[in-house]
Amino acid sequence: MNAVTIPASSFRVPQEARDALNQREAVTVVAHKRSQYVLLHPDDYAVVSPILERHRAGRPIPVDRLMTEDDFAIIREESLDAPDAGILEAWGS
Amino acid sequence: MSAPLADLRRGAICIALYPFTPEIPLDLVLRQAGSDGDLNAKIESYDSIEAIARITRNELVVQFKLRPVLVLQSGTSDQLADVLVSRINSITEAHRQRRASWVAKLEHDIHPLMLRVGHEDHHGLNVESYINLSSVQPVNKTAILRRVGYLTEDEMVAVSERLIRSLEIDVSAYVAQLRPEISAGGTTSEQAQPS
Repeated sequence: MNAVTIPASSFRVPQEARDALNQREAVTVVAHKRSQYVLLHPDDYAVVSPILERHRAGRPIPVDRLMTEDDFAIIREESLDAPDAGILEAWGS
Repeated sequence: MSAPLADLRRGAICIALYPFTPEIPLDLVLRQAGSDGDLNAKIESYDSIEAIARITRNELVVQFKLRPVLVLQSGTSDQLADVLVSRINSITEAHRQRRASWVAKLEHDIHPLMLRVGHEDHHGLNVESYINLSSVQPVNKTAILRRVGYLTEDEMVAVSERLIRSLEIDVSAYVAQLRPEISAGGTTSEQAQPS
């Protein structure tokens, strides 16, 4: 995947963001409440760059690889939120 | 009782009977609910995006809830009985407390499969919600009771991006036509021009 490299001297990263990146946390840069950029630690980028490369080429990615434990939990909760909906009784039951 | 077909445009946010089970005798459900006057009343007053229609017959007892859905394809033709939808669920206080990073992804519009809605008037929802595009379901059009809002064309572009991921659609051939430098791994045609 092509990447643009720039010197650190031309890019100012606030200390708060540096600290977060050193903790291997992603940093989301927002403008007008919308995400503009996401900064990653290089080791984290190495993990996700193959997925990014496939995505950029338009290749499918197994959907479960796009989901976090939170996503799985929320989808499980969704399926449980109407346990009393559906066929409750049928003739002869 | 059901929404007019003209309302079932792609991008419409509608209230539908859940579960989305085509085998349920919907004509019976809607007729009985209509005669009771109960279903309409609860639709008008719903505040938690939830209401109940309980229909009892000697043969069958069915209980439905009302759920908002996003219509994903044009359902305006009377030639097709079903239309594809994705469910819309509310973002709860429990989500904010226990799944803060998930909520942040929605709010920053960087969730790969889900999209936040309900924060704009044209969505027609009473509470902040999300569309779960990891799942797409057919719904019989008679089970869609009415349209409450819609997504804009820009919002539907975000929906389309998530559906491509969710359904694992291979668009590499289209990408290669549009951006041949990516599939070739080389430079763009513009970059390749002699200076």
